Amino acid sequence: MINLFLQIGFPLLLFAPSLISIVYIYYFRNKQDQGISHRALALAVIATTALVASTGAIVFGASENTELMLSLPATAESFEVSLNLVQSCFFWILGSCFLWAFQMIFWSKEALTGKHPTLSYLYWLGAFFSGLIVLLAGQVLMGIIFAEIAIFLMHAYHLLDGGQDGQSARVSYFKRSGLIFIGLTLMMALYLAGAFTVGAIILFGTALYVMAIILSNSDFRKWSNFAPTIYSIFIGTFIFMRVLQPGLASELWVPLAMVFTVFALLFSGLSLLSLSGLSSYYWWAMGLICYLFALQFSSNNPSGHSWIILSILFLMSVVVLSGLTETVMSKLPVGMKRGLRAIIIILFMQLIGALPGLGAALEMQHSINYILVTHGILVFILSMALVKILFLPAGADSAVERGQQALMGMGSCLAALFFSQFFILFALGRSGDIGSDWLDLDPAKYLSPLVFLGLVSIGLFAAYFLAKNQKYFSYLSRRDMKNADRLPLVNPIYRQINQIIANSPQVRMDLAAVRAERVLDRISGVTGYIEERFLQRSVWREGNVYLSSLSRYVRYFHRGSVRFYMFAAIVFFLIWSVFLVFI
Amino acid sequence: MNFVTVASFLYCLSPLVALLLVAGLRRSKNAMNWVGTGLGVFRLLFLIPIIDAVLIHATKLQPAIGFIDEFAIRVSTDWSGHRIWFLLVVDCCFLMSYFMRVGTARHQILIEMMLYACQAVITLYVITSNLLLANAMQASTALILFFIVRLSLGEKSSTASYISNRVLMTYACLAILGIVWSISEYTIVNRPGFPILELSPTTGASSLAIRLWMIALLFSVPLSPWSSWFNRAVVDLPEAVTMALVVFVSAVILRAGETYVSVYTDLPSAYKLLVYLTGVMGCVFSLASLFTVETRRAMLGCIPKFFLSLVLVGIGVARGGNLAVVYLLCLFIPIFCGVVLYSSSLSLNTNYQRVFVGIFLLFLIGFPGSPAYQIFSLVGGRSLEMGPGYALIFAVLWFSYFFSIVFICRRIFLDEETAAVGVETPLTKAPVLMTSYAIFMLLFMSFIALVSGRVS
Repeated sequence: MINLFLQIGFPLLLFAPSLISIVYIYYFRNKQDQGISHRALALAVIATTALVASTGAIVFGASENTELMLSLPATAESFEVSLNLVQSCFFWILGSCFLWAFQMIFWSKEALTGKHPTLSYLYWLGAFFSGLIVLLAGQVLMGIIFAEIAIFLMHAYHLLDGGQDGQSARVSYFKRSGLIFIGLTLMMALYLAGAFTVGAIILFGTALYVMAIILSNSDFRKWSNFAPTIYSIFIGTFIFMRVLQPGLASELWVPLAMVFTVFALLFSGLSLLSLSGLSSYYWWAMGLICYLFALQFSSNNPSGHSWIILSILFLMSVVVLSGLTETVMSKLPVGMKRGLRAIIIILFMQLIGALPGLGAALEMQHSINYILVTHGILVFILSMALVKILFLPAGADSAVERGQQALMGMGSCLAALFFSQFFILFALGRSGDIGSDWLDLDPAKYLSPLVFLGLVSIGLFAAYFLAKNQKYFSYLSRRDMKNADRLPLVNPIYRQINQIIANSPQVRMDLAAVRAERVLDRISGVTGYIEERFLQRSVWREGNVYLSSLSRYVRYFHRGSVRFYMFAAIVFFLIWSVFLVFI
Repeated sequence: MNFVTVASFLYCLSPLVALLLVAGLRRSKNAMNWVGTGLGVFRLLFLIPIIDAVLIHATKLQPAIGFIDEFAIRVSTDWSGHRIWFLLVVDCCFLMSYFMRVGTARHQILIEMMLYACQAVITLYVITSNLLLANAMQASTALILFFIVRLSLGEKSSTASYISNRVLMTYACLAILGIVWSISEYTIVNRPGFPILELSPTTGASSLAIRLWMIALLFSVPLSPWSSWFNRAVVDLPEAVTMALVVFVSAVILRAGETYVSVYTDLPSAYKLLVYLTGVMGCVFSLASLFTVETRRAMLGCIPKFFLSLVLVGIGVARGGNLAVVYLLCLFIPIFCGVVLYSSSLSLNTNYQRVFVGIFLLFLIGFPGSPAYQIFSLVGGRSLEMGPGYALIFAVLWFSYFFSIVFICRRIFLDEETAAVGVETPLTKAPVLMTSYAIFMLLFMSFIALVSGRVS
């Protein structure tokens, strides 16, 4: 009985708030002044779902696997509709609730109170609901189907913005489709060339799925679009983590780690080159996510439970930080602003950025290899980018003014940094992982953690000196002003790529349509020639002659003179048939 | 003679009775609507006892009705589960078509009568177990449809001429090749009472007849890019005529699939690969053409064509002659096409219509439990079993389908300037009854997809 409740009751409890809210919306659709707002309703749904998910995380143990399966007939096993109720899934759901709650608290005014609030709400709810199913899906393929539905609904949610934002949403969706097809073609080519095994295809395919979402975002105009984008990445990451099994295509782990490292470097670089807050922040967040993947594949066990928790924390943190950067920071007095910046930098780079790297370094403490060094450089650049985001206000008028504002409060950050380094070293020494006695200064044991912490510190210092460099601001301003009339918020390099696809999907679609039509015309021309040459002059023409005369006879019958005979024949046939059957 | 036999006999004859009624009531307005409704309800009522028997004893119910005793070849019928489900679909589709546009006023009664005749012949075509007779029925239906198409747009219409010629020549050729193959490969076996055609034990897939039949089969499935008649039929023909055409094409595929199973094990793998690749090509081209058209109907009309191409993909990945995919597709395509024809003319005025659109979108997207999901899961499951190459091609097909659906949804429902209907049709008014029936059809389609998987 308890098992039955766990299997059926829990999913029902999870889905119930969403379904009840639809009924509520339907009831109040024409009564605008009555009832609670869409935003409050969304928050209520999120809170209730989060409550159920928290209970689920407690009730379902880490090792328990309760599965609810709806057996559809004639369905292959890989496509079975089933829900997998395990503790980690509830953690993911909690994470998603957190993301959406943040979205609703900070930015829903732009989205849920626009021209079509009810429609926006329904699209959002659809995406949230589909996302829940993805996070509970028993089969990966079913998860992908629902992930696509969720992404489509978020796309529709963005389309409601209309105008340039709507166009941007289209370009983004088009790019994602294009990247997926390119990836599939590439994988097919590699498979046919014998370079890929089944495991490699699965691993590479899901990695590509996540990267397609990350790379597809083309224009950054509204902070309110940030949480939905991160949610798409959240879903993609979940599928990616779900697919990862111990030993799955282990020969690809190091190459994948390198690929993610390259992307992390690229995105961090783009963040440093972007002047606008949103654009700069977006690339930094993407760099951080790629850094996490790079770390994960450099470790000995990428499918470990700790990586799941870390992924959720990463994604939650970047949304929280975006909210703090954009909304909270502007409302605080100067002193509190400085303090908050210091806390953000330290918490973020030490706990989220540096500590996972530190963990990886601890695994490899006896051998400093190129992976460790690369991670160190990554942490260095990410630290720089974070300081740049937090200390370069986008609203300042001139480059000099920006630089001056940036320098304010850096001292407090640096002081806090020294303290944090000290505490972390102390904690490492007492943890027993490195040695029972923290005063035992064996270089072989301390070297890797020290390299990491050193690189974080140097990164922050470098950002400090960069902030003093006026040429850097002038360079950014020049690039920014030059493109202000076109795509002011997109960084220069990525903008170049976007400009190529900017008029898509319409232009590409038109081009594809023209080419498709041309191909179809050519094939039709060939078949038409064959038909005319071999069929129309012989079979077709003769057949037409006979059929036309037959057609004339039919019309003649229809005119009435012979209808009676037809009628009589059919009645006779009927009677005769019945006679044969019964006698 | 038991009740089931009488019921099935009356079931087969009922369209002819309706034909006579329409002929007698030709001056009455809306005669076709209520005669058609009566016929549909009557046939569905007669199917109920048979369905019950099918559900309980799916493999046992095979009554044979002999009504042409004098001939050497006995006309035996097969009322197995899958055929009855298909007949249910046929009835529902024809019932829908009787409320749709049938063509020019000049020949309206004649077309209506021919539609009843078409329904009767298709019924016989589906239940006949004799291959020779089935092919003859196929050719007859093609001939009836030739006239229906011609008369529906007027004799001088080039579109009507184009579509009707192709339908007749394609399916008549397939039927003739089928007859040739039946005679060459089948032998007359003396059963107690009557001789019957049976597949000879020495038959194989090596003969010229089967090769020609297979090529004709490939051409009989309206595939992009060489078969443009199907698209033109969906866009230009009156809805009722299009429905009749689609039902016929599905019936041909169902029967051809059954025949294909009998030679499946003997077929070389190259043949299967050819069928598979042709299907993949058809799928890709049909979705590509979706982006080249402007109107709603033309856009949505590409989706049934995609599913028709998927038939060949399903055949290509079938395991040991198990054609569950083909069967599901044959049940799905006619109803889906009817719903597409209706939905392409909607203007979303009432809540019922919005509910319908919501359900329709779920079906289009392939929500779990919907027929599209069932079909993709079957094809996908087999593709995964057959290796990474097939799985990757399946991934391409599924993503292409999904992105095309997103494109359609955007163009029809989300864009500020939505695509035009593209055709003058009385369905634009979309009465509540029609919307309710369309919703019923969607749910019925799902029900059939779920239940049919259990019928052996």
